[in-house]
Amino acid sequence: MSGNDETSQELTRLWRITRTVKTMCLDRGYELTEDECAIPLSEFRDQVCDSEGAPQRTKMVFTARPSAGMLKRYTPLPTTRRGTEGPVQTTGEPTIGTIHVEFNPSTSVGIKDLKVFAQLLQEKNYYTGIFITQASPTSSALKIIPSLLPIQMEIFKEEDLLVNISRHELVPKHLLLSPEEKRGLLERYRLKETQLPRIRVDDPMARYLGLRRGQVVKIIRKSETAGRYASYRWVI
Amino acid sequence: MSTYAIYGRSSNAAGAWLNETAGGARRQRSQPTLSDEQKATAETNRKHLNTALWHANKIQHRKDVEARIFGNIETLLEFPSANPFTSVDVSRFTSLVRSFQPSDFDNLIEERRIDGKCGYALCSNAPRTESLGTSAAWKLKAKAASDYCSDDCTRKSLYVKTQLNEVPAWERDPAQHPKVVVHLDDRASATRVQPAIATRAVPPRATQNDLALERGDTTSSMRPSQVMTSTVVEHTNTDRATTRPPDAEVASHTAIEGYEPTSGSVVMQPPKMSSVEAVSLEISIAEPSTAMDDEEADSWRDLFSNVSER
Repeated sequence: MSGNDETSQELTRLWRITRTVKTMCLDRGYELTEDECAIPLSEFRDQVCDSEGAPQRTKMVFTARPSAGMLKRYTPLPTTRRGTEGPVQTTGEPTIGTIHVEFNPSTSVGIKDLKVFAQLLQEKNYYTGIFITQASPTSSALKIIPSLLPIQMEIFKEEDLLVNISRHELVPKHLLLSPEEKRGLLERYRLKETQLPRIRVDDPMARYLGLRRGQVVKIIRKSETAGRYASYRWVI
Repeated sequence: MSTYAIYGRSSNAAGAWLNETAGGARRQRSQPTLSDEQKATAETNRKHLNTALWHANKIQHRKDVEARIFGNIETLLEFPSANPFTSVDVSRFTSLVRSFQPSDFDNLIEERRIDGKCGYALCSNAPRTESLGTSAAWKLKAKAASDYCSDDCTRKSLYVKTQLNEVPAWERDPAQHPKVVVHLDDRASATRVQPAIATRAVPPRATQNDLALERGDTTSSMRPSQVMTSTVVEHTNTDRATTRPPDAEVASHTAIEGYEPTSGSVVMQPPKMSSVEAVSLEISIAEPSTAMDDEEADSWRDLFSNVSER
């Protein structure tokens, strides 16, 4: 009976994690439906449990494509380059693509596990990979991540995803600005980006939104005097 | 010759001066307003650029070194290449580990344990976390012990770790790179190319025997040359008798326990010899018997004669 209890507890845990991860992807702008994010527990059990009722992490893998709005937000500004026959306008490729989410069943994560995942991302041509582990990976394993660029690999711990932090009442709303919006902001206030307040890339909300260095995020918080108050932060 | 050199130098200097003035004139023609202020800003800009470049190069160097250390850890994950490691493995291991800090070495051990290998890079066994399972945590007192297959490997790994330099590799001088050597046991087995585990498991027998010998556990530990043996020898002619005057009949008042001190002008009155032939126990020491000097021999003789009288 106790074993049964444990599996059902584990199932609930994984169900909550899945919901958070999918909501996270939706908030970032990937193509997911609200129904997918708010999957009921019974349906989740049918999807991921094996014949004995134990949840299988390998069955929880999913991929999502970016929506049109997200692609636009990640397209860099067109640059004018001096060519052989006058100036040439080049529109940048959107720096975003398919996201792949995988759950790791092992209790300790080393270099080898992350290498296997990195190879999968490269083979399948995924732009972003999210690797969800039970224990935090070793410090040397984390050194793989910068070597993979431009492929983005993000690592989350399961316990960090049990609760969706962006829905907490003390967490203000974070919105990523597109390059045009960023330029508009800097022109409007006659600023250089270095003059903005900053937010670190390893900030929990920055990790939630998958922010990258150099982007600007708009933070809207409630204010007793002004109703709503918006501030901008530069990701470093 | 010397005049020519002087001329040559002076002409060169003059040429340089001419060029300079000409260049200056040209510059002045193209950029008429190059104030001192502008020159100063250009100078500071160049200085700043140089500083920035210097720091950027330093950071890049550090990144390169870190990447190399990461690569070394990855390589060492696959060690050893054969089950009884070879001397090639040993030399590669020591050369790869040279640029490590002790913390990098710890990372390597952790990675190997996760990978299901003994933390010591020259050992291909499974660590005790695998062989003992979950009980490893409470069966082994030291936490680090469960990363290895045996205490031997723990010791050898620590032997290598203590040789590493705390200074990070990107800040070291070339001379600061330590010369790393593996443990003595492995050095020997690598040269002989023998199964390392076998030599490790059986302690050399000779040393055990030596120890027993030293303790005196076996019969062979007896050294007869230094043990006393007693043999009874009949004392036939006492040479003391020749020194005594023949008319000694009565014990004098100066005798001490029947013995007359020889010093002084007093005529010696030796004790009367008993009818029984004096028999003395001669204690012979086999080894240094010849080395006994005369003085010692005399004192012994006196002692024995007293013993025999009583």
